[in-house]
Amino acid sequence: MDLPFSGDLIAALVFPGVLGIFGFLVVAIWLERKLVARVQWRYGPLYVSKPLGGLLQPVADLLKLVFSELVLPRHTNRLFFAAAPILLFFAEGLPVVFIAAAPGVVMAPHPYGLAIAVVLVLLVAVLVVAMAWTEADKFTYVGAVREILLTAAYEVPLLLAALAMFILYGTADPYGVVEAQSNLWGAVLNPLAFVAYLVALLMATTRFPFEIPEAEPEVVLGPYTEYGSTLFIYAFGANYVKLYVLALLGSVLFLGGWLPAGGLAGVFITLVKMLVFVLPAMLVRAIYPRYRIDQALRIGWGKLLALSVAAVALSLVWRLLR
Amino acid sequence: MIIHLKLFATAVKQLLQQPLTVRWPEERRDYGDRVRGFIVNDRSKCISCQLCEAVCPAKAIKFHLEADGRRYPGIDWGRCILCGYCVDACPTGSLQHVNNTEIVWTDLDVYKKPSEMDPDDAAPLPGTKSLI
Amino acid sequence: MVAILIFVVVFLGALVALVVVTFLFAPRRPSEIKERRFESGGPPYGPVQRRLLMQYFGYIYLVTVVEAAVGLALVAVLTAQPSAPMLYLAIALLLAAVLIVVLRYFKVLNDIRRWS
Ligand code: SF4
Ligand code: SF4
Repeated sequence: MDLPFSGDLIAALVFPGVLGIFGFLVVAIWLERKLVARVQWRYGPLYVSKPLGGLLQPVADLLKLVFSELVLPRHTNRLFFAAAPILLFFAEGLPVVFIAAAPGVVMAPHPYGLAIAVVLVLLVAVLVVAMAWTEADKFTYVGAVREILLTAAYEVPLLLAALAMFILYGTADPYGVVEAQSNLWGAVLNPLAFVAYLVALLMATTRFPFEIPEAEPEVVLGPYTEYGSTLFIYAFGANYVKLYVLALLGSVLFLGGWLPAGGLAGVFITLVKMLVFVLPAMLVRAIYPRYRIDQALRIGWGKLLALSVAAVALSLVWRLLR
Repeated sequence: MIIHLKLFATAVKQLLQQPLTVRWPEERRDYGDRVRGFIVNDRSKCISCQLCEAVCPAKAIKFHLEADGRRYPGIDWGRCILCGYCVDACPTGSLQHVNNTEIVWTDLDVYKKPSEMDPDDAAPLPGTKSLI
Repeated sequence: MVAILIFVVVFLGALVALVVVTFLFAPRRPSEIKERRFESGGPPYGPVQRRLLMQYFGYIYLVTVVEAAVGLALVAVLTAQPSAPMLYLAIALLLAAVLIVVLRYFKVLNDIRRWS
C-alpha cells in the first residue's frame, strides 16, 4: 500500500466516507441540474460561480437551507420528527462501511461485505416509511404507501441481480469480487444482471420514470412534504446518498472496481466508474415521463423480475461450465 | 429496449447542442425593432382627441390635466395588455411603442402620467443575441 | 473497527451539528399556520391514516416472504463450497416458488381496476 496514512481512515473520512457523501450530494445536484438543462437547451445554474459553471450553486442552496427557519409542526412527536431524517440519511450512508473503493481503502473488510451492504441498502425503505408516518400528513401517507409498493417491486430484482454476481464470483468479499473480474468485467459476463441492477437502481433511488413516491404534481413531495431547513436536506438528500452507495456497489460488482490500478489511482478509477451509474440516473430526468404506480409495479414484478431470474440462471450456467 | 436506447441517444445528442435560451440580463434576445413595448407619447403632436382612450380594450388609458391646460393620455400599466390599439388609433402618430419590453415597477401605483411618458423616458433596449 | 467508529461518529456528528446550527442561528418567526399540518393551504381536515387496503397487506406479506427466501439463498450461496448440486437445486426451487407467488398476484397487479 502506497497510501500516505492508513487506508481505512481514508475510507472513513474521505472517499467512500463522510467527505465523499457530502461532496457527492453537491456534485450530483449540480450535475443533474446542468445535464437536464443542457438536454433541454438551457444553460442551467450559472448565477453563483460562473467560471465554475455554477458548481457552487448547490452549496449556496444548501447553506441557505441550513439557515432557514426550523419548523417542528405541533401535531407530530417533535423528537421523532427531527430524528427521522437524520437517521434516514445516516442509514443510507451506512452500507459504505463494507464497500472497498481500492485495495485497503475500506472501513470493514468482511468476507460477506458486499452482501451485507446490499441487505443494508434494502432495509432503509422502512425508515422512509417511518419518517412519513411521523410526519402524519395526508401527502406523506400516500407517499409512504407508494414507497412500500415500489420497494416491493424493486428489492427482489436488486437482490437477485446481486445474488447472480455473487454466484458468478463465488464470493461476496469486495477484494474477491474485484479479483474475479481481472480478466473480464462482470457487466460483460452477465449483462442481464447489469441491466436488472441499473433499472432496480433507478427504482430504488426513485429516479425519474419511477419517481412515484414524491411525484410533485400529485403528492407535493411525498414522504418529505413536512420538512424544511436542514431536515429537508437530509430527507431529500437521502436518495442521492442511496444513489452514491448503489453506484459504488455497482462499480465494484459489475465494472471491476479499482482495476487495473491500486492505491490512490484505484480510488480515482472507482470514482470514474461510478459515473457509469450516476450519469444515466441524472439524465433520465430529462428523458422519461413518470410511470403510473401500477405500471411501475408491473415492470418490477414482470419484466424486471424475469430479467433478474434469467441473470441468476445465466450465472448458474457460467458457474457449472467452469 | 431499442426505444430506450433511442431515447438516451436523443438526449445525448441534445446535450451536445448549444442552448437556445439567453443568459438574461447579460445577454438580451434581439426581437427586432417592431416590438410592442413601452408606450411613449410625443405631446407636441398630440391633439387630445381621446381616440386612444375610446379604443383601449383594457380601459388602461386615463386622461390627465397637464400644466399647459390640456389633457393628455396616461397609461395604467397594471391594466395595459400591450395590444397596441391605441398606437394604431392615434391619428397623429404621437403614441409610439418603444423597443423596451422590460416594463417593471417596484410598487403598485403604476399609473404613469403623461409627463412620465416622454419619448426619452424609456430608452430602447436593443437585444444582443439574435433569435436565429 | 476504529475506522467504523470514526465514520459513525464523524458522519452522525456532522449531521446533528448542522441541525444544531440551524436550531441556534436560523431566524425564527413562529406562527400558528407554520406549525399546522400541511394541507396545500387549506385547514387540516379529517384523519390522516386510513386503514390499509387488503391488497396492500397481501403485498407486504409477499415482500417479507420473498425477501426472506432470496436472502436465505444468498446466505446459502455464500456459505456453501462451490459445485454443490444440491445448492443449485435449492436455488432453482426457491426461484420457482417466487415465480409462482408472483404469477398468482400478477393478474391483480396488472390491472389497476382490480385494485381496491
Ligand atoms: S389618439 Fe393620439 S392624438 Fe389623440 S389623444 Fe390619444 S395620443 Fe393624443
Ligand atoms: S396598448 Fe392596448 S391596452 Fe395598452 S393602453 Fe394601448 S390600447 Fe390600451
